[in-house]
Amino acid sequence: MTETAKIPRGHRWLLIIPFLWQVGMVPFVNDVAWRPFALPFPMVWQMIGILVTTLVIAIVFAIDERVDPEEPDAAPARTLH
Amino acid sequence: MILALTLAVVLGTMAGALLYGRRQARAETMAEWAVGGRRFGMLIFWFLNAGEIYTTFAVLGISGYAWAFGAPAYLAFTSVSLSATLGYWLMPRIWEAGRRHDLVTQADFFAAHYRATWLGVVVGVAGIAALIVYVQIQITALSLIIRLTLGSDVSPLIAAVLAAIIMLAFVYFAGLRSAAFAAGVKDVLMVLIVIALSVTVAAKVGAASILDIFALTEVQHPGFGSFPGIQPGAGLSTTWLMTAALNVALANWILPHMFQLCFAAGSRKTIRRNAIWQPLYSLSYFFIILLGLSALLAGTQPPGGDSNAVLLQFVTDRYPAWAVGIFAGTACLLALVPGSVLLLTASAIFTRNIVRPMRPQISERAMLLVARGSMVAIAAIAVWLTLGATRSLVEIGLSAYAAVGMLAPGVYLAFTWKRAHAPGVFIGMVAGYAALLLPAAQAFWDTHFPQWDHGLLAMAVDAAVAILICALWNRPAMPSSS
Repeated sequence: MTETAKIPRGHRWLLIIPFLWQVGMVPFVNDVAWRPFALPFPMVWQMIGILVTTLVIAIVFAIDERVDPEEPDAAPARTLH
Repeated sequence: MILALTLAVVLGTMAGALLYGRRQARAETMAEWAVGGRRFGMLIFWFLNAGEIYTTFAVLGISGYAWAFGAPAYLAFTSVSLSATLGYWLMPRIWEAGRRHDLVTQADFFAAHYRATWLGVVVGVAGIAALIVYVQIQITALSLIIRLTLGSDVSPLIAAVLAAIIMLAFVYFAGLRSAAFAAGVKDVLMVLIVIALSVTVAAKVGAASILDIFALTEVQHPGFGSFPGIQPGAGLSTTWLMTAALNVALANWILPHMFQLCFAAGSRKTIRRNAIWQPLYSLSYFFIILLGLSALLAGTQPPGGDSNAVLLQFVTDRYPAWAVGIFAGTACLLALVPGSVLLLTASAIFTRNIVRPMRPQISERAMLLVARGSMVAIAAIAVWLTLGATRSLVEIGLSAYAAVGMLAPGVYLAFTWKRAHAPGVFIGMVAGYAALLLPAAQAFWDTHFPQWDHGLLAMAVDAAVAILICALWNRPAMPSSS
């Protein structure tokens, strides 16, 4: 296993944010009448959600690479081919 | 003109893919043929992933949904980013298991992890069923394009059979590698087409700008951009979006071809870095929705009111023939790339997980023949399914996710709970399929959980039953678990 108990993984909970944004908030943004740039607000909300998701995954990736970098030699050594 | 350009795009890409596949390596064993030799680098892996995302479901299905319903098309915005978020956690685990046990298919994973060949057979059959539904999407779309280019006097049956033959021809020569090449070509063409259409579309429908299209749509169809959209009677409410979006995210990597894609990655880092960029792709669904709404403003009427044909019809009505030809050719690739991957995956599952357990002595060469033969049968079933169907591609897609979602608890439990065992997972699956397919169950959901996605409800039943069985019935711990 590459992930053992001593590697901190608490930051992975950040990955909940896209779900809260793009699923959890749906009923609350549906009736917002404001139309930025003439676009329906629920649509703008989902598009910002995509940017938020990319940001969140990028942050989690950066932390993961710092706390648990992948050893370049590990991959071929364990392949059966 | 339209036909010539369509053929040029498709045949040109096929020839390129063929040369590319030949030059790379000659596929000799099943493993090489099906997972591309487990040596995909970042670039090819990314294109292959993108090929999965830019499907007919997204381009033709979502534009049709925007045209018919409005806001419910936002499902597209949630599907990729939520799948990528979940995939960031899940895909490296699947990849790791694949490397450790030398897995080729999803059914291999169930058989290896739960140490039960019979569960592999069951999962193989369920996976193939879901893949056939997914192939049906591609054949439906290809048939539409064939009838657009050859004329509507081509019967739906002939069009569907032709579509299947083209798809089989596409995949027979070089396996996954040809799909990777074609996905690259298709992405470039698709981006160019979407840009060209979006830049010109406002003038075509009498709007001052792209944003003006949204303003005009609001005037004609007030409230189109909020749920439940243009047709409140369709039941596509916020509840529908939330449950359907969750189900798509949870089931996405469980689709056998997506699961298998994880095995093909070069490293864990490749998978994770890829997850960062995946969602950004899906911002371009904005333009797909824009084009669907433009068709609505233009009063586009597709033949038979078929929402899947809206974008094709709109381009045919409003653009010169050469533009229609390039678009139709690219739309063919859009269906062929995932279509070939789907056929390849289904045949690999059939041979490895259904034929091999029954005929263990079969040689690698005989296996390759069975694999190629089984694809014909699978394509034929998909053709047969296509004939009776007039549903939206989005609905067909959601039913594929629902069908494969019954395998999801078995995957998630494998990575989170050591006590999960084969009988528990199997009984959960049976309960899940009952909750999904029995008419009584469907009536129950409609009464008590109106507008909920049935796939998500059935997946919850599946998971609950599996967890209950595994909690009550303790089997000896497995020596090694993922």
